[in-house]
Amino acid sequence: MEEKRIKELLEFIENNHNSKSHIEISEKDFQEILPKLTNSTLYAVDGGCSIILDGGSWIIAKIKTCYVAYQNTSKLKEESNEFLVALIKNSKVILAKKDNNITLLNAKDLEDGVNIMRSLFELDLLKKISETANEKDIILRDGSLSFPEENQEENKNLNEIKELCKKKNLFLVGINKTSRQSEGGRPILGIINEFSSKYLKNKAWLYSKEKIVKFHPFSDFCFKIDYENENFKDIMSYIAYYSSDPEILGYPYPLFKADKIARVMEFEKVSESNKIKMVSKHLGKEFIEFDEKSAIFHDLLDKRAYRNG
Amino acid sequence: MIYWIKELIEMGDKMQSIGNVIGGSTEKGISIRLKSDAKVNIGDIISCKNSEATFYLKITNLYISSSVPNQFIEEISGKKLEREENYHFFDKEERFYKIAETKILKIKNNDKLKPPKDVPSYFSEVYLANPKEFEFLNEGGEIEIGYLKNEASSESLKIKLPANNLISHHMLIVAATGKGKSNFAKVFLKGIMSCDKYSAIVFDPHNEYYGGESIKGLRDLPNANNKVIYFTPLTENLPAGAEKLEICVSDLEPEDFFGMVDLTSAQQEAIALIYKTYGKNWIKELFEQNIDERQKTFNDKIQNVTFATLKRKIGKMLDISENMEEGIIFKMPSNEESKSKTIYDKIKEELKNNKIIIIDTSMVGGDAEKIITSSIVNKVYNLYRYNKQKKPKEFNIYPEVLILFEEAPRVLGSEVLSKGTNVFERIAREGRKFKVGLCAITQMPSLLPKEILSQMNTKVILGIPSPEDRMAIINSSSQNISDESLEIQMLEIGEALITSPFVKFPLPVNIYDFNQIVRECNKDKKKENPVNPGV
Repeated sequence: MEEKRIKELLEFIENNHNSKSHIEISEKDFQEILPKLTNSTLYAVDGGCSIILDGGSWIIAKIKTCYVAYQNTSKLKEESNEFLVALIKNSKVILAKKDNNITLLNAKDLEDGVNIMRSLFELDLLKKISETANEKDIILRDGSLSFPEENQEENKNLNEIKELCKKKNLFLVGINKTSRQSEGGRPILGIINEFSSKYLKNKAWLYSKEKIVKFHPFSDFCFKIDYENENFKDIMSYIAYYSSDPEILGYPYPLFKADKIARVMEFEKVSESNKIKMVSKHLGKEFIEFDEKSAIFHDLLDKRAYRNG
Repeated sequence: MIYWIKELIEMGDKMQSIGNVIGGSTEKGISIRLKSDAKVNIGDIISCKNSEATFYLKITNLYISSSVPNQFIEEISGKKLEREENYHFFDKEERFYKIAETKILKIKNNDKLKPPKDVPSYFSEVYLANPKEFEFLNEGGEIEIGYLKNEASSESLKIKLPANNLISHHMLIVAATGKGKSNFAKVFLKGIMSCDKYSAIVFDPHNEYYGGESIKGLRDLPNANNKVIYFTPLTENLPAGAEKLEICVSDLEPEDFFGMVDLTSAQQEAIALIYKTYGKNWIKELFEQNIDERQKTFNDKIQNVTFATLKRKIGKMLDISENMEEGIIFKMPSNEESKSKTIYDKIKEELKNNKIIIIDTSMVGGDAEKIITSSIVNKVYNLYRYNKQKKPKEFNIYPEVLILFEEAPRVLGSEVLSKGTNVFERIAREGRKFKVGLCAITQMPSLLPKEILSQMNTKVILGIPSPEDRMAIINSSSQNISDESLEIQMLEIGEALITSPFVKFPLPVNIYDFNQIVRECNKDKKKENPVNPGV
């Protein structure tokens, strides 16, 4: 019975994408890449965020940004920043307080607002790196190099960074871990990966038409790359060199490292939350406690279920 | 406080962090993540600065660890092995590292040493300990034995043991064959010689302490002529200053035999009775009397067969034949000899002169050797006891004396003592009151009873591979060395761990090479101390 239901689901997916024509793929569109060493510095930038206190119509979130810089096999630098931000939904407007500035966010909801704030902080850091990096340095961003049109501030900042990189001859690369780009009902990454597994087994390659790259011969993953410069193959070969760490084979190790540093861990969440509650009590801001109760019951249920489970 | 800051500043240039504290407790010790380039070994002493306190830590174990989950490591290893894939690890030093498990030896706070009742905080920096920091170890130190063992440090600190009290509180030198027991004993005796306020009696079954053509001994030291006296049964080619080892049987007493050689209770009773009847001539009478005379004297209190067996046994032990032909050491009493000084008289005299007295027992058998040892020790011990009770002034003149003997289980083993007590056991229990200390040497401490082991307050451990022997030593030490089992197992030739109530913490020491000391002394006889460490 169970198997039958699963089969029906799988056939539904298969029939729907099989009914449409696939993109034309040819072996000619693939180029094998071999890892190459460069003397340029490779920067990897990432950010992480987590909601610390959820008051229903407002939240306080912790945002971390980080970059690491590598040259050949050595790490040159590692820097991380931490921010606490407050977001409030008043009618349909979401306001965010970052340092002394209050920003009006074009966000769907508070969670989306936190992500926008994280992107803005990340872009700040990206800008700072672009300003200090030297010619031919490579800057990796975890994620895309474009934002939806409505995210005007992010786009504005990103364009400034792109301009700066162009001017200084820096190679800015966006590496998308997930891609919703599809063709005929199937994700392009899936189609390309399936094709390469048959014809380019145990090879690292790039598919230039769609800028999709597999960085290590034995990796099972390929990524959609955002890159607006020349020398695509060379740059990918350099990145391939950094994608040979066995803990995260096929993914640039510097980005993996940056992700680890920028991740807001559970213990940090608890510690920050306790700190804020203590300060609010000290200041007599009782509303914090009451407001929080309007949104945390689900968490409470989760915890109970977890404990009983 | 000011002194401490000054000390820190002086050491500042040399101090380089080798790790961080990552956890621990006073009970289980402190865990330290080591820096990738830190070169440390088990047994090394490191220090950890924590605000005003300095924690002295000893490495008891080392292991590898990683921030990469174990499952990944196994998987990566599998891929490398099975698919021969080559990978490039980034940040290898950050992700794969060593952890040192340590025990807290002491805490220094405001220039005072305190027991380990506190722990350093997380991420406290750990440094290679500078040997200068341990100068407090030499407070009251007199006998220089080697260098503080700290492979991690390029500098070294000479270690001096405090002889006063340490001698009379007994020592145990324990190690497997070839680990340097005799070497340590010679180095220690050399130290006693230099002090000139202690004495020692050495029973030497291998004739190695005095020295000879092929072996360096105490005679090769510059002040040997004045400080060493050597008794040997050799009749020819006696080295200069040596004395003939001869014992008149009339100087032997029943207690020299009891608990030392194998005698039945009937035989012991018989000896006691004969001694009571004839006093000093008891052995002579045992050999000379015929059956009729004996029966007349003792009626039926001693059976003929017991008499006969005793005569045969004692004759064999003392190497005296039925018709009273003497061996090389034990002599029947004669009128001339009774007037001359006995070996005991000479020993008593030399003790006062703070000399090292070496008794060469290498040419006699097991029982004879035991009787020689026992009779001399008995006489010396009784002298000290008598003096303390009856002649306190004389008692003060005599120095603390160390009685050094090998193969300790032969006289202090559980099996021997189960048959009756002997002088060594008595000294072990109460010798310290009379300034008489034992220095027992053994390979197998587990053969000694727990009580005896515990009485041996200072233990010089030179590497014990057997777990049973290690446990016996660990369980009886005056300081807790339960964490040092691995270190004890791994001690190399010439390396020692010394535990004693007279040292601040269990000391890892590189013992001097006695041969090297001799070479150095003879190079320049004015020079007192050796230059190079280690065996």
